[in-house]
Amino acid sequence: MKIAVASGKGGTGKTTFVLSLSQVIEKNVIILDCDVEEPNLHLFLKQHPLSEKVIKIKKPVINESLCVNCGLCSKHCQFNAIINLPKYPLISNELCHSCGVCEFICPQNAISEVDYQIGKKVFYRKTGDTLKEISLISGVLDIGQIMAAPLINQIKQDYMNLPKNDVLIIDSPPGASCSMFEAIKDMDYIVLVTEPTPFGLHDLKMAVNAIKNTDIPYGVFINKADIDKKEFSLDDFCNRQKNEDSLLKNSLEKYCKDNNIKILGQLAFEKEYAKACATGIILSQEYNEVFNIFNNVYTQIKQAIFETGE
Amino acid sequence: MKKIIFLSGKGGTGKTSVMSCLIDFFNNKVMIDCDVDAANMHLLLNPQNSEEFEFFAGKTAVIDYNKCSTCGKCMEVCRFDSIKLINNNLIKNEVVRASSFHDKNTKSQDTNNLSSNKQDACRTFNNLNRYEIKEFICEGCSYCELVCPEKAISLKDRLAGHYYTSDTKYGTLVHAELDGGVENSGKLVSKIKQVAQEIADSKQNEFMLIDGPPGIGCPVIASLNTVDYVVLVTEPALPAQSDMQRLIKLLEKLKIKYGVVINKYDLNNDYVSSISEEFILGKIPFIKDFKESISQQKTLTEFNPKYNNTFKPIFEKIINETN
Repeated sequence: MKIAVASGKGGTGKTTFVLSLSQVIEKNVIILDCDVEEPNLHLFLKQHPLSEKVIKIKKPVINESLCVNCGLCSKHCQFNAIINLPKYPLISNELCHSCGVCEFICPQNAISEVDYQIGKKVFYRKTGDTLKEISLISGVLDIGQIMAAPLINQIKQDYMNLPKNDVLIIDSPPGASCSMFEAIKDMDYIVLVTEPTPFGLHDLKMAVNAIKNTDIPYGVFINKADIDKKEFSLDDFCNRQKNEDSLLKNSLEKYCKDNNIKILGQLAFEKEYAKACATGIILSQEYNEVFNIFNNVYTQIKQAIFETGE
Repeated sequence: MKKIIFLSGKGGTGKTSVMSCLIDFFNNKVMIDCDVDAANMHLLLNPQNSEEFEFFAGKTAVIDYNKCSTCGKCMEVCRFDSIKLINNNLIKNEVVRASSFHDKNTKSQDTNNLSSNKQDACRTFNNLNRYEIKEFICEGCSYCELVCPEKAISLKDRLAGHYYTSDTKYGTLVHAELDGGVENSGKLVSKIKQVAQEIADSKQNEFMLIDGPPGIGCPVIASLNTVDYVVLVTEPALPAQSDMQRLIKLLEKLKIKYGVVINKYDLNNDYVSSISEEFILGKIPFIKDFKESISQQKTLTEFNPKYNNTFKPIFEKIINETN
C-alpha cells in the first residue's frame, strides 16, 4: 500500500500527519521524505543515519576535440541549456533537464553523458516498542541545486514494487507543481493536509487541480481545526453542516462537500500540540485521542484503496 | 530601488502574514507574490482591476495518430516516462459495450445505422492500440519528435498558467497562478519579476516587496535574483529552524544579506534559537487575530491597527539594514 501525503500550502502539517499515521499502522512502515528541499522527518525519529548514498543524474559534456561547433545541440535543446559560443558550445547544468537530445543529435558523437551529483538519500531505521520497524529514507537536495523532481524520482524508484503487505508513506513537498507531482504519481492514495483558512482552502484547490488528472483516490485531512473537542465525530459535523450551511459558504467543508471530496478527519488546534511538535514529539505516540483519530484515518484509507482495487 | 523578499525555508511559518503587516509602512512600492504554486497574498489585499495574461512555457509533444505506426520508438527514448502504451483490451471491452448499447438504442429507428456503428467501433479499436503522451508529465524535450520515423510527433506550446497585475490600496500587486502539476514555476517567477520591474521602472517605485515561495529550490533561486535583502520568517520549532539553516547556507552562497523575524515565539519559550542576536529583526508572539483577520480577508494591521506597534520596530530595522 502506497500513500502520499501532500498539501498545496506549506506548514499545514504534512510531516506531523506522516509521523502520526506511521504510529497506528501495525505493519512495517517505509517512509520516504520527498520534501527534498527541506526534509524534516529525521528530526522526529531522533536516530543516527545508518548510511547515505549520493544521488546522481546524467548531464552532457562536450568532447572539445571532436566538436566542430555545428550548433545543432544548441538548436535542438528545448531548455536553452546550451549556449553557442565562438569556439565550443557551453552547457549549463542548472538549465539542463537530462533529456538526452543533444547526445542523440550530435553528428560528431562529441557529446557524452556523465554522472552529476544533485543530492543524497539518507537511511534511518527505528524499532518501536512493538516489533514493528520504521524505515526512513530521506532525500536531501544539495544546496544551490534546483532539480528537486529528478531527485524525488530517483528516491522513489527502489520502492515502487513493494511486497503487498508493506506500507509506504511519502511526505511530499508543498505546492502544486512538478516536484509535488513527481512525489504523488504512481501512489495508491493521496492525503491532502490542509487548514481551515482562506489560504488553506485556496491552496487545497490548486492541489486538487493538480492531482485530479491522475485518477488516484484522495481525501482531505483538516489540521489546526477550529473545534473545541479533541475528539471529532462525523455525525456532529454533518449536523452542523446542515444547520449552518449558509454560514459555511466558501468554507473548506463546503468546498469538499460540493466537490465530493472525502474528509478523512480533523485535528484540533491546541497550543499543546504545537509545542509538542516544535520539540520533536510524535503526536499520536503522546496523545491517546490523536492516536484514535489517526487509527480512524488509516481505516478509511485502507477501505478506499480496497474499493478502488475492485 | 530596494528589493526585499520574505522567505522561510519551511512553509506555513507566516511569510505572507508578516509581509502583509509590514506593507503599509513602505512608501511607493510594487508587490509581487512569487509563491506561484500556492499564491495567497491576493486573498488579503483585495485586488481590483486585475489584468490577466497567459503564461506559456515549454512545449509538449503531440502524436498525430493518422501517421503513427505504433513502433514504440518514442516510448523507448523518453527519459521522463511520459509515453505509455495503452492497454487496449480494457478499452476494447468498453468500446464494444458502448457500441452494443448504441445499437440497442437505435435498432428500432434505423437499421442502416447498425452496421456503421460497428464499423466505427472497429475503426476506433484499431486506433486504440496506441501510445499516449501524458501531457502533464511530458517536459517537451523533443527527443520523441526526433526519433519518430513517421514524423507523427510535433511539439506545441503549453499554457502553463496565468499572471495578473492588480491595483490594491497599497499599490500594484503582481501575482500568478501556475496550472496544477506543471513544471516551470521558476520561469513564471522570473516572468512576474520582470513584469514587476517594468511597472516599478515606469512608476519609479522605491521598494519592491516580494512574498517568496517555501523551499530552497528552483522557484526560490529564481525569486532571489537581484534581491537586496531577505527577511527570514521562522518559528521556534525544530523543523523550521533546520529548514532555515539550509536556506541561510544558500543565501551565504549567493552573498545576500538577511535578517530573521521569529514568529509565534511564545509557542515554545524553551526554544533557544541558534541565530545570533545581531540577525534578529524582531519577535512576534502567537496572535490569534491573525487567523480571524485572514478569514475576513484583511491584513492584521487593517483588522486592528493596534498591531502596528508590533511591526513598526521590525520595519525600522529592515530600513536600517538596507540603507
